[in-house]
Amino acid sequence: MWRALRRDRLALISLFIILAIVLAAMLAPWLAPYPKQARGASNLSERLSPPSRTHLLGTDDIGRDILSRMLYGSRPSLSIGFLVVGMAITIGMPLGAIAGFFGGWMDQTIMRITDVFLSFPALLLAIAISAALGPGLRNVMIAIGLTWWPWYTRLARAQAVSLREQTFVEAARAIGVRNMTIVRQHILPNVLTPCLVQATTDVGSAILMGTALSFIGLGVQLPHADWGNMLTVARMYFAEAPWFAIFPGLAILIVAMSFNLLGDGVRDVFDPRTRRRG
Amino acid sequence: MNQSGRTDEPEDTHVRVRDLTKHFVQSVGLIRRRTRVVRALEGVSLDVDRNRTLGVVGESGCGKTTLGRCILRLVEPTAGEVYFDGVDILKVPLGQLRAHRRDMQIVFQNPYLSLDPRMSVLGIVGQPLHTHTSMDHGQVRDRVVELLERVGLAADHLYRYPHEFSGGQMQRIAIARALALEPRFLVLDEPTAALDVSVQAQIMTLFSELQRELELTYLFISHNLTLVHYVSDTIAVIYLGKVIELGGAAQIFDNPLHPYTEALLSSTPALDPDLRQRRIILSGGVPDPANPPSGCAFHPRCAKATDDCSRVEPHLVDVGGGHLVSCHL
Amino acid sequence: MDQPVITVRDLHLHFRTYAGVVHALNGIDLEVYEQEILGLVGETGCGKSMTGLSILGLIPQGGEIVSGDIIFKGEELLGKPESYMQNVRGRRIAMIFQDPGASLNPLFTVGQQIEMVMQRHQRASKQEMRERAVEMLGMVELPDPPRILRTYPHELSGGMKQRVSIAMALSCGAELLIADEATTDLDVTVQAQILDLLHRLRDTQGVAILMITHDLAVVAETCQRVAVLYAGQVVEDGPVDQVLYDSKHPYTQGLLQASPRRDAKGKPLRAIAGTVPSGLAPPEGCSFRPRCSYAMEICAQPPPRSSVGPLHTAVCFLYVNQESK
Repeated sequence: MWRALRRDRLALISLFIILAIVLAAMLAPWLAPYPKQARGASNLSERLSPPSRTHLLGTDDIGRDILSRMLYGSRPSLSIGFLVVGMAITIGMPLGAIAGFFGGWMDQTIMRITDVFLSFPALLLAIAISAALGPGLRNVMIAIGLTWWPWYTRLARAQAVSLREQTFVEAARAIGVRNMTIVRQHILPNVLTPCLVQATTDVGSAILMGTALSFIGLGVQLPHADWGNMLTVARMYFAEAPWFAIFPGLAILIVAMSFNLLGDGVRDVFDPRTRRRG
Repeated sequence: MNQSGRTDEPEDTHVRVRDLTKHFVQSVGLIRRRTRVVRALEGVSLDVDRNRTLGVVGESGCGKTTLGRCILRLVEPTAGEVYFDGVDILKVPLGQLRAHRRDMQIVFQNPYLSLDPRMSVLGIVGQPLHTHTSMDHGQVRDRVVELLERVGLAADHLYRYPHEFSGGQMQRIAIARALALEPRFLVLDEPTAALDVSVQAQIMTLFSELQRELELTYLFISHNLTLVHYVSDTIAVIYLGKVIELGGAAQIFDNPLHPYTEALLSSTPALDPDLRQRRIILSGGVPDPANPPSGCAFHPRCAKATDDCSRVEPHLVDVGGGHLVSCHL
Repeated sequence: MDQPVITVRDLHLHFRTYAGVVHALNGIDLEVYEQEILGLVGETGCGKSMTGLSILGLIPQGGEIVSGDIIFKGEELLGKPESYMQNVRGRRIAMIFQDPGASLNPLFTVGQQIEMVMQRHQRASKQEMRERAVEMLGMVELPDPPRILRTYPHELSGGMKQRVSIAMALSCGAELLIADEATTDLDVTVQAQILDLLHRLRDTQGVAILMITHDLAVVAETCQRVAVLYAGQVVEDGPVDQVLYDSKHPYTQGLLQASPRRDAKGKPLRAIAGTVPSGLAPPEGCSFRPRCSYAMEICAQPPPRSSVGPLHTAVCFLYVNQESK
């Protein structure tokens, strides 16, 4: 599989970009040139200065170094992406697998509940939950996670329905393996692959949603840095200090696109039809 | 060698099937939901003697695959009885059924599909052992190695995955899995259909050896008449869910009584020029099992059909020596 | 001996894969003569389907013909532009496939599809095409052709679909029909009908047939000549009676010994030891050597084609001395 991925240049580049950003996020305290400013210390004398040798990406409205704030801000943004998708898979995938494999009333019940959640536009639902829970990173993650799991349930269910007709599942029944064991040993591992493929792209979307929520003030609160809340403020100063908005915006764009391209690459690798003849 | 389809001594009969019937009910149509009944099996009765092979042959849609699955109760039959050593497993409550599964196993047609691609060989062959016994991992591993060697694979294949093997090897893995719990009865559902002829030869040889060594009873299902003749002691010919002829392998081949059996025999291409017969070319194809013809199901394609044939359904009659046929002629 | 309809000479086909270059065809030599059925027989991976596809220039992505000739009625097909090949396909050389529905679009009726083929290759009025379509359907022995013209593929059985495919294939007067495992997925009674039909069509339509199959018995009953393929090469070819009953190449003999026969019940089926090579790194010498019970020192070199009987050749060192006699 890795050999196949190597062929897809775009996906490979995206993977490196993502790894680089994750690394940067983890090493932020050591990489940031002005860690105190990143955490909130003000520096009014240098407010809104353009990129220079002392401040590589310029400063914001309170004079804080944008580069440092972006490095620190990448942490909540990225963690929203990974944790939310992780939560969605953990909840949604087993539910979908059980619904698809057992069918009947279990299937009906689970899917009805799923349908209810799916009928709300994700962003609005996230906003509503977030507003109800109050601002803050933790609540944002809960909110987005609650809107995201239904997609995985639906995906896992579709896979499980086709899997349960597979001969190797029939073989397990012929051996006398108990149903829940079949779900655990045969259904879940085979359902994981399409979910992971979906997850790769979804991390990018989750980051976008997290950023959107922060942008309207529901996420990470100032003075803590987050790409979204940086944009909230940057918007007001766009004419005088465009760099304030451009850099975080660019970061969001690159990260989201990288996950999308990586997701495309991963999907092509796993789709037997696009695989090259052996 | 016991040539007939029936046996006089009941202890010799390992598996006895009586009036097995399976109807699949489908609801069709988007607006007006109609029900469509697919009569996959209708009143099938046959016996399989201990340590012998009963071959079941028929074309697509005849119900032979369903037969194998119903006998093992992988699919719940609509009616009928299946006796294993005297016990009707169709009446056994589901909880106890699991225990019976140890004695009867199945090898599926396509090894590419019957092995979970995400499980290692150790996992696949060890699964029956973990399910039914309390053996620990070390004991399971030892037993799996033993099974692999018996089917002609090496111990170092333990940690490999199915896609690393050829079709023939994968089928050996499936056979090892089927033998794990020491069953006495195996349903072989077209086990070599997906394999090349030289690999088929290896697998068929393996089946013979195993039958001798382990005293196994086989139900061999296939559409390939030549292969069925080669491997079976007795043969049942199935058409549209009914057994239309039953007898010893030699009886069926040298003296086919049912017109369908004759047509099947003559349609099967033969390598040996001396055995090539004048083809009986049937018209049309196999009818839809949901809509079988009246009376004898074969009459629309039968060159010798009479008026009676379209009205009255024939039954299996013993014409001597254990050779049974279901035909008005 | 008349000129062959098609000659394939020393055809080499390579595929680029993740694991390396696969030599799918390693020097194919065969001829199909007028009004004969040539069987191309071999096991999985021997290259028989690829040979058929190469003739029509329909090689999948990643494949490339690196050397050889394909001469059809005096014209070299390799190297011809796609536009030329598109005129050949369907009109002069046609193909039917293992899946009877493969050539049929589920969205159009049978009649529409036959007409589409004719429209592509011929100039004729609607009326003429319809009449010809009815004629073709009658030729493949379908009952009530005008009604069949209006049916959709999913309403037909496998055997009927294959007949329609044959009708479509021959509708523009093809000179060569390639049948790629065309009866493998059909019931044996239906297979008998189709093989019978192909025999008759060979005579009435004057078409040559390249029958690709893995089933030796089908070859025995249907073909006049046969070519046995192993690892991308023709290892033995000649009249069916000779190749099957007086086989010379060890692989052919092995195949025959492994095939169950009606008259050989109880006799063990002798399998061929070893496995088919993957085509990744073909050996210098004979590709069958690792599995051959007659292997000799000299087999490390590529064996030549030797004559072993009238019009019967085998690629094996066992027969090299015979020639020099």
